[in-house]
Amino acid sequence: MSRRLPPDPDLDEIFDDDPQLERFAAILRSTQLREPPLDPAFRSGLRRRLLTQAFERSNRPQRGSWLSGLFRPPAFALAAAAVGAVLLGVFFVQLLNPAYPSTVVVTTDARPTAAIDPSRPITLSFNQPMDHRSVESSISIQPATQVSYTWQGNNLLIQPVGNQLAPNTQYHVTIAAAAATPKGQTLGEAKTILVLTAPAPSPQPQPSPSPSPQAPAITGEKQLASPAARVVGWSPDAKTLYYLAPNGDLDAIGADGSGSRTLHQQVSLAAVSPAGGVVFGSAGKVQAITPDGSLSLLDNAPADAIFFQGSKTLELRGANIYQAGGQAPVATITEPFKAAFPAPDGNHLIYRNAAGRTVLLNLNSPQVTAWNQSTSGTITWAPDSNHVAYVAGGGLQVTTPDGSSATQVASPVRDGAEVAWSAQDLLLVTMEPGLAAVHSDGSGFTQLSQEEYGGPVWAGSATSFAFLRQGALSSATVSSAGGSGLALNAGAKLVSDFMAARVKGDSTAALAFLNDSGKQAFSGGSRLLVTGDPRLARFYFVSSQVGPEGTPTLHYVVRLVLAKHSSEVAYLDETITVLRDPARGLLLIDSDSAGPQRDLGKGPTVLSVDVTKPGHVTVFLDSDLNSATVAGNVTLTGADGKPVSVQMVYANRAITVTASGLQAGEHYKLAVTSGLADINGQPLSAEYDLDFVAVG
Amino acid sequence: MSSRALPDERSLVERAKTDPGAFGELYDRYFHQMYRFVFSRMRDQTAAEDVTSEVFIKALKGIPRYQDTGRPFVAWLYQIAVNTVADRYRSSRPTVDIDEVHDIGTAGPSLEDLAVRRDEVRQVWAIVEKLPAPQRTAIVLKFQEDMKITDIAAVMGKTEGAVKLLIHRGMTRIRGTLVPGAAR
Repeated sequence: MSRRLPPDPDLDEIFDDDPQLERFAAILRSTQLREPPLDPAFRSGLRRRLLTQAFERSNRPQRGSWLSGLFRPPAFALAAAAVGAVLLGVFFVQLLNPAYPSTVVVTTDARPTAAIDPSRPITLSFNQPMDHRSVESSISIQPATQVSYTWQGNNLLIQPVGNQLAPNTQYHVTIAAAAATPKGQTLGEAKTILVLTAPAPSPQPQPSPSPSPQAPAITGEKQLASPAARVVGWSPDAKTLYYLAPNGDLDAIGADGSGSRTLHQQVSLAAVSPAGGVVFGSAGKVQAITPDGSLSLLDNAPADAIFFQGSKTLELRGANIYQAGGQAPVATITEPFKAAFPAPDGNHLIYRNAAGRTVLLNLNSPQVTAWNQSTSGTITWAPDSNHVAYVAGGGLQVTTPDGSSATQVASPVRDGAEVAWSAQDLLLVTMEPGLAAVHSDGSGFTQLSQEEYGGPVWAGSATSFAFLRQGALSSATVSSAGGSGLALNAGAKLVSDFMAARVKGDSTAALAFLNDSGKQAFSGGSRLLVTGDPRLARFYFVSSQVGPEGTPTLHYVVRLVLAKHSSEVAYLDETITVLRDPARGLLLIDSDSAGPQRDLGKGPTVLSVDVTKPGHVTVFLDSDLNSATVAGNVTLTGADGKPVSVQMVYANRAITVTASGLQAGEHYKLAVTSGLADINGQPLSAEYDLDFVAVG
Repeated sequence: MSSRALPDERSLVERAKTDPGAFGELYDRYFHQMYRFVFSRMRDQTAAEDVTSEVFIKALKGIPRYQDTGRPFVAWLYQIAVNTVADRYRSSRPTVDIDEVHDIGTAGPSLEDLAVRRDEVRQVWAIVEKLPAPQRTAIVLKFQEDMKITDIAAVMGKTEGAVKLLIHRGMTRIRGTLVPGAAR
């Protein structure tokens, strides 16, 4: 596999056309730094610390000034005494007429890339008192926004007249060079401050065009292997199930029952790696086996539990947690304990101490939080690691990992019941007898079956689960585990994870969310990762909807925001279709189409469109509009191309279109045209249209 | 980092000598690049945070004496970062796998190709980490940070010829390790 380097005169002399050296150089250059873990609090904290030091320095008298020299004993002691009285006079004059820094400096506590709550005012801080009228008349804001000003000392609070900034928007607040102090000292040069607002709430559950709410039900039950003692887990693609046989064999079998094989013998514990493959303990060692069967030794010591933190394998050995291969523990449980339950993301672990107390341990810091209530059985983590479930007081309780918000979501549930928590927020609970399902908020409790379903384990984000019955491994599907309402959220989570991987520049992670058709849509180009200049900085949802009846799809329009340094300069919209893989039950991205790249800051921009309310379409924009331009510039047409009669109301950057004639399940087209203008007369930056299916 | 210092950057750096707000802008502009570079060297979040803090505090202290030599300002930051990392490197070795830090940056190849390339990348970078410090620094700045030889020379306090020699020796050692029979 030979690769040529792009021309670099720097390297010609070094490599002298040596193809081997060029090949290794190409490998080095083809790699990119993976996005490192970054604590935003560290970034903003360091900035604060630096600016504090910088401000202190700028206000500190310079060393070696005539003043400090004057007081240096003993040579000028008399001179110092002589001028003392003069200085005293100066001091009082200064009290009455304080000196301010010679340079006017304006800062803000908002960061260009750290989103603030849209209801929060934009705060500008000056290093000295300013002439209010001069500053206020010097301010311009993009996107166009009507604001009011409030001064608090040297701080200026800028509040939109509608009390809310637009969500998902980077504001450019420019203070012109003429902004001045009461004495006429000006800013000197214009200063632009970037303020990013937080996203709007994520897409709400939306009924399908013809909603048919169904209670979940178990379907497609099939026995896969016998005998089996414990389900280890599903492969990330849900194609393979790993389990332990009663004789200690670690076995694998296809989800369709094919390809049964033994991976290793005398295995005491095992866990499926998020990257694929299995890490297991056997004969006092920890080893890993890849999907293609390659075996590697991770540690020559026995582990009590194996779990993962991103791509790192962690091992619980006694009271210590080690990274695989590491010599020093990354965390330690500092008291005797009886049971431990690591979080799926590997950042926390809950243990039960010898006295029965339940304790949350942060693995990234030595912080521990003891629960107020006691627990006895298994503690099950939600897939997102934000909640846990456990049985206590005869019911199933759900709480945050610190145990502070326990709520009973189902009862009666016996002690020792087993719980599996799906990525679509459905909890399976083993009952006596049978199996029940309930959402984490306690809604939708359903007794699914009276049959035995031991040790249920969900398949990733799918609706399939594996279980044990009478010593055999089986799988089944919960027919409406996604539910008509939840599916849209589950799809949005999938698309969010996919987009987050792209923002991080992690092509491998991003590709895992695509089916073959989705991979085709992104192949052969640089569309998956936008790493040039401008680069992909963030994303947000513009619209989301369930596909029409008979096409079990979810459709999302996602906006990719492109930035140069910290300034957002352009965007493009991608339409992403999500469907459920029929073989595996997984939600995957099936197709994607991208619109043209458009500049930001060139007029009002459509931020999002809500098509989830029957008879209504709401268009949200980033700018305050000239309301006289709304009529006639937002139109609806039917599939036959004929205009639909509508009524429009404009308020707070939102245009609500009401059309009583919309037929549920029918296709319509929304168009926002360039006659629409903001309060400064700037027309819509780009015409916008959206095909959607009306809901009923 | 292939472009020269831009006029607006020059004026920003000049202002940053006395204006905290301008220093804040420089921080916003280069924090991520520095943090990423430092993390790639330290491979530990806490250590990367410590070193990045040290880099910017040194930059704040040193900026009144900074002289524009026509090279990008960020080269000066790299100079501070390389020295700070070297100080830390002596006392603590990185703890995170190479795989955690580098990734394949292109889109499109099949998953099988990606797996093969990932293995190659891992091997080559693992050898880079074992190179003598000057060779390692020169190669990292050239291939990971995409810097010009002239800027690397300024960062490392060496001549351009010396930097080229370091890169050549490092690359030859990589070949010697990965290609049996090849000259080291």
